[in-house]
Amino acid sequence: MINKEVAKNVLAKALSTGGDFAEIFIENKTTANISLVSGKLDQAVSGIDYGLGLRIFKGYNAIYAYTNDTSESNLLKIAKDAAAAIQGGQKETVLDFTTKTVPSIHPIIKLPGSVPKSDIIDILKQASQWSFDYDPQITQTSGGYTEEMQDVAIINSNGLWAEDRRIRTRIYVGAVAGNGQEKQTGGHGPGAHKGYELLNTINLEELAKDSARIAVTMLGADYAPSGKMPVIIDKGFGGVIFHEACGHSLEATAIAKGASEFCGKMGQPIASSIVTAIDDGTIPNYWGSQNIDDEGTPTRKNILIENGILKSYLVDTLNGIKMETPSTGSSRRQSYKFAPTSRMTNTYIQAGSDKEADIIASTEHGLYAAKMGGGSVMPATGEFNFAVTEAYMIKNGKIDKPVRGASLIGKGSDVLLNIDAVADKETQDQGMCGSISGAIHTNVGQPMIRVKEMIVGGRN
Amino acid sequence: MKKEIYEEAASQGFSDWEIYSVNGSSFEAQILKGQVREYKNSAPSGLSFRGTYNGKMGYAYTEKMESDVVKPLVSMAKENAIIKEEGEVEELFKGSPSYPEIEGLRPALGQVSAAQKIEMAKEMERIALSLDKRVVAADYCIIRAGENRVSIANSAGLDLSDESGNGVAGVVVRVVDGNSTKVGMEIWGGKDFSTFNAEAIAKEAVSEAIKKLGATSIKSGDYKVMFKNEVFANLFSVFLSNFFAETVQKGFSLLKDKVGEQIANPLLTVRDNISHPLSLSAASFDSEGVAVRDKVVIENGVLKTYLYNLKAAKKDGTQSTGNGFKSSFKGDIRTNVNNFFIEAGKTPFEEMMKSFSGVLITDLQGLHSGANSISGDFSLQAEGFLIENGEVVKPVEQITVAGNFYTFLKNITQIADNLHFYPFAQIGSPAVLAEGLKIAGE
Repeated sequence: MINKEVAKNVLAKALSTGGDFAEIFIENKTTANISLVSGKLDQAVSGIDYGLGLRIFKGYNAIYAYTNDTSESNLLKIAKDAAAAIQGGQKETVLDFTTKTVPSIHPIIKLPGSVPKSDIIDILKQASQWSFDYDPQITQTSGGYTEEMQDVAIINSNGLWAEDRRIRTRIYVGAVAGNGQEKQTGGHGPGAHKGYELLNTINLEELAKDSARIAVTMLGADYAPSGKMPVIIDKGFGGVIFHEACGHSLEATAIAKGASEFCGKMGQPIASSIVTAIDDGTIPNYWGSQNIDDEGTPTRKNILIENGILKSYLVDTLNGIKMETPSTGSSRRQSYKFAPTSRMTNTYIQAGSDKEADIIASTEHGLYAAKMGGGSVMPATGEFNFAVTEAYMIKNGKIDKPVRGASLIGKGSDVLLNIDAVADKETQDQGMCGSISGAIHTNVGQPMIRVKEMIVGGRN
Repeated sequence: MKKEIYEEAASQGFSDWEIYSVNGSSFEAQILKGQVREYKNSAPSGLSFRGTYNGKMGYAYTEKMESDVVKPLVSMAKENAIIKEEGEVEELFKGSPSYPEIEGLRPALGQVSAAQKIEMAKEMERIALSLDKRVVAADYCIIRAGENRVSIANSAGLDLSDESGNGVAGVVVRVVDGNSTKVGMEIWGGKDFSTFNAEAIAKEAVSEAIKKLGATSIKSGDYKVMFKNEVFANLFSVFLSNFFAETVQKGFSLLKDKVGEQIANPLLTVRDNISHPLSLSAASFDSEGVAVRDKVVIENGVLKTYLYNLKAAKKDGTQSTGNGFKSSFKGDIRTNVNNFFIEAGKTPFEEMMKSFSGVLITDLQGLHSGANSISGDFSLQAEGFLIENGEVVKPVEQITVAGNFYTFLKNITQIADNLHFYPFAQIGSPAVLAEGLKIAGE
């Protein structure tokens, strides 16, 4: 995407006013999106994202510039303009790149574009039919398919030349149930760091029927109660609780500024002793995985919390300079349009020793959150929220009536300490996480857990 | 490159074609502890091609502007056209008889140098940190200026372009008192920097944060709820797509068959105009090239019209309302608003507050997940103040406010006079008082 001479010249120009470090991130990404509404094609868009981001460090600070025009003359102009923002002495830079080839641990079988779109549309039409056939109350369905192939090269003034290819595929099926006055929704959206072969690993019929089941169940449900109560959060996307309540607050973005409730807590208990939490960007073909992060550092398995004790933050190079901590391979960005910063990959609470059935049976009264939506957090205060899309009341140790329209809120530090049961089966689900370096692919996961007490934001 | 694309389109069998392109430039500086923490310069550009192949419209985009992408770009669009359903007719537009005059790019915007902007941001941070001992940091202190040009040209003869630009500055402060930590944020925006006032921005952010110190939850129950103007605008914007004709036609909107019916309290009038003196955004044409125009969407509580693009208008046998927008240059034609706002009421906000007892909501979180745009249900983390007869009893945190958008519209009991367009918010709103919402807390 860029030749070595041009890269050398651009980095040298970037450092010509005394910068400490310079980095090029160049990206070529092809994307295809298809969406269906009620079994009919609604949207088909594809395209090429292409550009280069240049970053210069000086002390704890950074200059960032990006462009779509990667001609040498334009890049040198951009490097010169960016360097002009640094007031320092002249510096001679001699560069020699050592190409870092990290072997890919995410094998791809069917590359994007290798399967005719009409085949994918046929599959989504079949899924729509499965949802409609499930129940006459299903009034609409939606379906979607996205595939992208991102080729990146990261080149820096330390002599790094790293390249990576990220291929991600996701399919979505959703259903709407309605009765004239009201509508409710259900859906599933599995994805992976895989090509079209993703479809061989999922049972779309089951997902389409389950989307319809959720929509119909929620249509008949009463509103959720309000107030504090025990909450059981199911495995898989339930892991969004850790992502919001703790994950973001462990990112160096917040920690380096002192803007997190977990600053200065390293080695201290911040969660119940039955909680071990991990961020692992190396799990083969998982949605949040990649061979290297967006600074060219190999991703790795980071144990964040071990038996309740804080063991690691998520660190990128720039914030690491301030924190005097090396990168944890956690620096990510949506595209060349964003300077990278510390983010999550596949983040989950590790399986514990409780049995799911025992957790439910030992809960006299509370909320069982079976399926979760997204959420958000303010790391400075730890206040977070996330939505529950399928929920039931628990009465005398048994799952009782379905309830709808609830969100769960709390403060990260309180909630982690209040986890009093962790089941023995962990699964992960896919999400898009938005923060200052854009929207990135992340997995959330956990086994079923119970929080002793949380605020349920219902309407009854 | 345009010519090359046109030629390629013709040779691949397209019967007509259009290029929609955006070109911009932006500058941003982030200040931390008196230093430029991050400095960002960019010149983003992109192009979207669409055209008719065998009677069906196909789309594709590129950010790479080199000749090697011409062929794949047109091929992708062709592939996307082939898979379209039969009978879904989307056509290129020849042009409206006339286009409204809008204020484009102000020359004054570009006359403030990077060094001056950095000084302005530093001043914001300095003042914010000096206002109160409890201010421990300004975690984000940002200034930004951006310009953007949108052009559409097609084989039907359309050739349009609009220029716009704005400056934005904001600060987020963190305040601490004992065990209580709170953040406060203020964002300013303008078409140039003439109304930028570092002190006013800093003061607002700090005062917002300080007032919230010591906040606690309250008992769950039914309270009257007053939404601060920008907060109500954010809540309303989640449900905006229900007013789009294409959403209605696809069966996702509960506003189906409701035109001419009372859907809200008669106090509520909502408009979508070309421009508004308080808003930063204005366009003379939409992404299809249709002239933008003023329209009433809800008048005294009665739904007057949906918002149309060309395709949806054709289906309903009516005219486009000039709302055929792409979500970005990458997308296809969908629907969006111009300057959508809830008309200000007559009662001054301060007067409304004098007789108010209930919860004043000053912040909502999790709008992307805690509100379902199809069902209308929402349950959202909120912050604000418990008020009794106009007096603040205490600041409130760790509560949710829950309800349903459609019943809420009918339960509005008062609308204030303080219409406000928050920079980059999709819609403008005054403060709104409603009954029938549930607050969950302790």
